[in-house]
Amino acid sequence: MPKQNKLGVYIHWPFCVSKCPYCDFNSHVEKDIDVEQWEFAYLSELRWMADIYRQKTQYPSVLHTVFFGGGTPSLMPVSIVERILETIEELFILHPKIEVTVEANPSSSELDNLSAFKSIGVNRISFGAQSLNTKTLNFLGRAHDTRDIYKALDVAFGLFNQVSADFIYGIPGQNIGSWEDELSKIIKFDLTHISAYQLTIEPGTQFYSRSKKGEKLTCDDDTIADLYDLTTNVLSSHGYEIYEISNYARLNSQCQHNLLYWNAQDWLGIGPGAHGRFTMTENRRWHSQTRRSPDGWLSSVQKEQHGIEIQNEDYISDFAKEIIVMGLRLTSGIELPDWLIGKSDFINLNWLDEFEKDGFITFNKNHIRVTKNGRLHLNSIVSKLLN
Amino acid sequence: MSQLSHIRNFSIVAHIDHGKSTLADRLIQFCGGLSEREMSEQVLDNMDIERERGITIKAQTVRLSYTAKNGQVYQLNLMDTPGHVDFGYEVSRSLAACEGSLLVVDASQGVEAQTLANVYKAIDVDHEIVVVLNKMDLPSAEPDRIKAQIEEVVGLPADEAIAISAKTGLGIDEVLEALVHDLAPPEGNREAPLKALLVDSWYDAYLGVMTLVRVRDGVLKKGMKIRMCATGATHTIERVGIFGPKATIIDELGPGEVGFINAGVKTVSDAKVGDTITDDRRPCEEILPGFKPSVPVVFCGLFPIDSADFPELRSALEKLSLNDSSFSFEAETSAAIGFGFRCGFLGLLHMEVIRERLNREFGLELISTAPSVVYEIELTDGKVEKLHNPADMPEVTKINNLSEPWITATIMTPDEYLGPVLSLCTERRGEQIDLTYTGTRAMVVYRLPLNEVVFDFYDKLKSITRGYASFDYQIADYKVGDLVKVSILVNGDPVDALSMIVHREQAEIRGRAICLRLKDLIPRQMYKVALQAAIGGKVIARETIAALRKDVTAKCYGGDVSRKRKLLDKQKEGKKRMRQFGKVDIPQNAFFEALKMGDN
Ligand SMILES: Nc1nc2c(ncn2[C@@H]2O[C@H](COP(=O)(O)OP(=O)(O)OP(=O)(O)O)[C@@H](O)[C@H]2O)c(=O)[nH]1
Ligand SMILES: C[S@@+](CC[C@H](N)C(=O)[O-])C[C@H]1O[C@@H](n2cnc3c(N)ncnc32)[C@H](O)[C@@H]1O
Ligand code: SF4
Ligand SMILES: [Mg+2]
Repeated sequence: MPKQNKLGVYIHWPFCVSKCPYCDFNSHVEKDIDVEQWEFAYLSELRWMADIYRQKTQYPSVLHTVFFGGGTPSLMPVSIVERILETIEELFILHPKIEVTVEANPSSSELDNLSAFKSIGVNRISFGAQSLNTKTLNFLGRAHDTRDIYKALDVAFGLFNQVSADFIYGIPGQNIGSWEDELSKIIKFDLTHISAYQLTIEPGTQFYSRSKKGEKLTCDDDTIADLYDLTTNVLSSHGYEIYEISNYARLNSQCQHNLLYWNAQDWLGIGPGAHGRFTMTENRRWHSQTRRSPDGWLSSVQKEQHGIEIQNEDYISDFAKEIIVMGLRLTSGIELPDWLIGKSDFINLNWLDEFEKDGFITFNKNHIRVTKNGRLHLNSIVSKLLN
Repeated sequence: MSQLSHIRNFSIVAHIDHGKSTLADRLIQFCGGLSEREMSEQVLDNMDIERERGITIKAQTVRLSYTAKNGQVYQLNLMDTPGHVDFGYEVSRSLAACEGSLLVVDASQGVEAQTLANVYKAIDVDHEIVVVLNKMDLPSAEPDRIKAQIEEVVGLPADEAIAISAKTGLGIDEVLEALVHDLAPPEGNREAPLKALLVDSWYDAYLGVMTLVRVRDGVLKKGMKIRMCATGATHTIERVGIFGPKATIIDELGPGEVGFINAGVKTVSDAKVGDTITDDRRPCEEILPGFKPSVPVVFCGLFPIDSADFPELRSALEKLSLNDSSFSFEAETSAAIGFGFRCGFLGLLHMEVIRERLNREFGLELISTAPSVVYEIELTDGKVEKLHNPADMPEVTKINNLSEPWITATIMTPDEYLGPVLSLCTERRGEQIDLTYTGTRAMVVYRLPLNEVVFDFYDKLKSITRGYASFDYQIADYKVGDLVKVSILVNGDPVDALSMIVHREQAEIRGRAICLRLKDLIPRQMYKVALQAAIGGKVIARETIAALRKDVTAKCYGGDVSRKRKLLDKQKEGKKRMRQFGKVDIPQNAFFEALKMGDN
């Protein structure tokens, strides 16, 4: 039997207080949520997915991570989270060091939930802080201000050992000086984990239509590259090692759940628009995707116990692509399985050589890794390696 | 059949837009050739592209029956000709089939470059010329000034010029009377062996290969076995007809008459324009002088944007050439932009027209390389070769010298723009031959290298004279020039479709312009891209596209993989439209765009 993959569960909560202009997540502003119906739907889809997982694999279902993402899952009624976690306990064998994360927005209204979350088993909080600069927060259309962030983090540190925060940079007008300022404030929090994203203009967002009309909503690529290098250097000198393109962690504080994605491990995707993947045998992978619209998903689950829209076995070439696309995001790189590297139809060996010569990647036996120099070119590297 | 004394054959000639086709409309209408309902504006301009652009490209012939004031009925064969310089050969052919010309001059604009060029062609073939001043309905008409101008510039008596308006119909009756009284009737002998001029041939979807003829001696009848003198091929006449302007079958065509025949000719190339047609059983003794063949002078590569369209492009070109034997095409392969054809045209407008027809009538999306002229290369071994494509230029060490075509250009312009016009000509290596004034108009004659003219000369001329200058040219001769091939290199590899032959003094400017253009068009890449213009091994201009500093997706989690995978698949698909230069892939589109920009 091949080495068993790690397994996680992702739960998507698709609601937010307001819609941020840059956001392309499956998130909606909705006042009246029927708590009972939603709870019932999550539980029934969870059972359904666990079932498929068992049918398709012969592994014991040891669960390593649970991740409540959104949307704004910190707005979830605690009762739903509680029932979900109970059901998970019933369906899976929990790993002793299981990581249970909730994404949270740092607005005051949600803070009350935090201690309740802790009491039902949540052990990691990830705040969407986004910025410590008031102008930037306004530009990003966030519903909170910097004081909310300080307050929220204060509460969180009193409750959790693992506290992460997300930040966005690369907005117009930002420069080395201003971002360095912000970074120095970020460091003072003593977070265990930091995600720092370059602002991306995603299709379908308000920012997208504004940029189509000619508005400049990000700073230029050269500046972003400088800001990126600065981020990595500053964070590293304060004990946050980069472990993925946009993720930095203190020792033993990497996000175990997100590592499942990048290491092409297994996870079940529950809730509207959630994706799931798991490996059935060495090179055969199952893939599920649920209906994106909250109402649509809800009514599907009510009818059929699940809201799955697509489920199938991935083509082996797609699986190969996914391993490379995701794995190369990790600074540690990945161990390519034999089936993938043995066959040059999945990977362009000439480019592999070329990139190694140019110092963009290292390649040793089956282990492949993108270097510091290659990191900012990852899209080109991946595209050339795979085409 | 009409008596020779009651036939008049004439061509309508003028500068572009002076109203030839509109006048033809009025003449047709006056003689009852078409009913009110069938009439449309410029009814003879029947190609879509002619109608859309409001220009005549192909000469058209119409037979009219005119009852003159003296009560006699005359057969008038009218030929409407194009005004644009590219289609001058159509004018020459029409003139050869007629005894007289109707010169139309716009009563406001007066004598323009093609007025002169075309009227001289008519004088050269000894035509009687009836002069009309058109557009008299316009308030800006100045008949007296224009009459004086015609006398002074053209050298034709103009006091009897008829004031008309092809728009309102003013003076049309006078024109018809003048045609009958002032033009000479044709000569010919009905009893002599058949001798007819093959004026034109084209392919008609219903009737097959159409042959337009002008009979000199003898008679053409259905069933007759005719011989094409040039090829010796024989055919049996299936149909004899005239355009009135609708195609109408008639019994025969006699001396002096113009009409068409269908004679089982398979392809247009078997009916050579300018050939003499005779009776196979009783051939004529001498053949008619015929025409100088029209030769393409401007060449460019035409490539389908979607390479899968290549076979369609071939068949479209074949089809178009059935109706227009004046352009040439030959398959060509470009490493940078794929498979296409090297095509030759009579000029830039002709090139544009064909390109547009390929697009419109065949739905083909094309890209064309920069227009170039035909060079003559004298090789070191003494051989002389014609060069249609800069990409085919032999190594410099094998070349003794390179000659380029020169033209004699006539430019007429309001004198206030004379300064800029002269500097434009000088800038383009022109040599002044003549400079004269009539009133406030200047006429300059220059010798110019054609290759300078095909590179945005018209546009420049138009813009510096606010559209008031007119321009005509004739190929004069070939002259050895200090010409070099400029290659454009991307990361050291030449982009064949962008190479060009230019005068040494222009090389750096032109090379740099293309490098700069590419710099804007080629997206930054993971590796830096070197753009160079070079003559042989010597780099004359250089630009660098700095390497892209950042190309990475900031966020990629569980739900993003599928999207990312789709993106990769799309990139793979897009790779077909990429050309690899060393380690960089350049979108073919960048070259397309670079070429497109060259058009403007
Ligand atoms: N006002 C006015 N406009 C006229 C008259 N005759 C022609 N036009 C206009 O002038 C323009 C050109 O007329 P055409 O008959 O197409 O000219 P053309 O000489 O056949 O042009 P080419 O075949 O392109 O050389 C058209 O817009 C006509 O409507 C006229 O007597 N008066
Ligand atoms: C799942 S999302 C949202 C979590 C939470 N709802 C919030 O907005 O705070 C996780 C993170 O992605 C980042 N993000 C979202 N949209 C982005 C964009 N267009 N460009 C860059 N980062 C973005 C934000 O930092 C966000 O906190
Ligand atoms: S709070 Fe987060 S998920 Fe909600 S709209 Fe804003 S960015 Fe999107
Ligand atoms: Mg016309």
